[in-house]
Amino acid sequence: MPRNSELFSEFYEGFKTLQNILESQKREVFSGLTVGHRKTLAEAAIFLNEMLHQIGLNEEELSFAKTWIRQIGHVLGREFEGNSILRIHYFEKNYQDSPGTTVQSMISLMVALRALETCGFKLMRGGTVWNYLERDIPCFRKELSKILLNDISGEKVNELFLLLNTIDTLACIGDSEVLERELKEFIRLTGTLQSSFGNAFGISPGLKIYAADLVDRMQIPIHIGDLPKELRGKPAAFMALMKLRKRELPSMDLINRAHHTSSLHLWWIAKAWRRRLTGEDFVGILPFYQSLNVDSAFRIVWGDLYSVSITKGDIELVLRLTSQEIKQQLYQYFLDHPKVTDFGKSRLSTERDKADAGGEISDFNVEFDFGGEKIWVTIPIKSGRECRNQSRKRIEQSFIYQFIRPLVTFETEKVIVFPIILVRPTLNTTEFLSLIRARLRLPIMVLDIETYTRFLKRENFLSSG
Amino acid sequence: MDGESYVVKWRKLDSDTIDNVPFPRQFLEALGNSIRKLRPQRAIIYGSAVKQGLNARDIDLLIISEYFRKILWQDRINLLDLPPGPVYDVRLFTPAEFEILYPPTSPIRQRIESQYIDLEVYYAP
Repeated sequence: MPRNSELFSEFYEGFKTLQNILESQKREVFSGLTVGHRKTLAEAAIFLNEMLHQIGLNEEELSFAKTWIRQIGHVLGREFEGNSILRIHYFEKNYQDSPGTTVQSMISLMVALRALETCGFKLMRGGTVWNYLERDIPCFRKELSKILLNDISGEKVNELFLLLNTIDTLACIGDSEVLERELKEFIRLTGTLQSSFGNAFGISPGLKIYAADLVDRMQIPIHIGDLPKELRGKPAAFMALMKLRKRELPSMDLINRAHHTSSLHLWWIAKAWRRRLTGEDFVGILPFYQSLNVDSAFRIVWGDLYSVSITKGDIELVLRLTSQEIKQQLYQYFLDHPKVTDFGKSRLSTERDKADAGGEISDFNVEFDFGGEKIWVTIPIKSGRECRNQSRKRIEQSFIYQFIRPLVTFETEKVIVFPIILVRPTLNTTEFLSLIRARLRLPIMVLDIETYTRFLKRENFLSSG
Repeated sequence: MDGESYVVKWRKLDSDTIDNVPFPRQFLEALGNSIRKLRPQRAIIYGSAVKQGLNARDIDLLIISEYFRKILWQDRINLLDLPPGPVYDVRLFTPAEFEILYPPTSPIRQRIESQYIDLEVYYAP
């Protein structure tokens, strides 16, 4: 099995674009989603959700995966309540003005609607958006039929993609006689377009893969023929995912060929899905988080510690501290900290006195004001007594998720984690700490034994320890 | 832009229109009570219920509040405990979200602004 750090790196590579899109949408003032971004979010949610339903993940990884789906649901659902549904109403007019842009935009809308409906964020039945959908789909179908049946200029690959996406979306909605009737009409339409599909398949292997998937799942009346073999990029990713949802194992060669800038999110999901199917325990998923400048946050919270010199004797004293003693030191320090908010200060005694966190969020949570921005600083504590005689592997297994958990708990807020790990420096623990520092690009920075000793010495807490 | 200063610019209706509402006062007070805790910048009823009151198929409710900033879209509805009876179609946005998703030129925004019942008097502390 690959080591954690390798899995995490692979995950970051796969979800980097997704992370960037979601982060930009979390800003107070955000831009409208581009067509490409909307598709990326929706595709990721659809396949990640399907993966979770088909293969089990452990409790931690499941909760991390859900942070992505929830954030995507927030962004897509929020947008859907705006004007986006009216694109269906204005399809005819918009298509006349700008066919290419209109079709791509409609495809992204259909994929987004499918993501919302399948991931637990359904449109409110009978609400305004729903009523618009039921009202406008029949006219949209008539217009799309007209384009596909009467307009013989070009192969209409994108229009056929739109047709398949509409079928796929309507099939997962339900709850509507109008839409069920429309679904049947759309499927019937595909049966009259065999020659159009035949021509388009020669140009677009992706269309052929998608049509084959729908033939398989919904028995749409199209003859597919042999599937292409040498796929690359997104078509390869869809091919791999199509196999996985049928519980077939795609080859690693196919998944490797799906590795492309446009499909990294799908590549990662296919790879993770396959990994679980072949019996591996972890897929390496981490939660969605907001990037923060950890170095400057560290300086604001802890000040300059590197100029403080310490001795081996100082470290020995710190290794003997209990977590309760550490919490008392933190309480004293934060009580006079100019950047802790009034709310944060009012909770300090509760944080000091609460029982050791165990399965809870963290041992010590403080709200800070970083230049007008409220940020939660959470501090899991692993005292020297607690770490004693534990191997690196054991520390890694038991601690790492505890450090990440606050990012899930404070899912809509900015949070930074400063674990205090007071363990004697050894090759194993150093390796573990460097994994957290360098390979885990989360807003986490460890205060190791030397750093925390410097802090205590500077604050004159050491002698009274 | 600073989120706290983001104020939705709203086309005001004549006071005659606002006073002439087809809802029982008791219902509007209950509605006001249920949304007061959200400290809305604006809260309105719009759509067919503006004329038909409780006889409308549903009540379109729009609440704009900074309170929603730290709450995901899908969880916002759980903050409301609306008076039982009618079917509600609720839109819950921060001021910035509303301005971005419903710019003043958008058809839905124009429809909302053309006729609405301002609930401020019922939720104001």
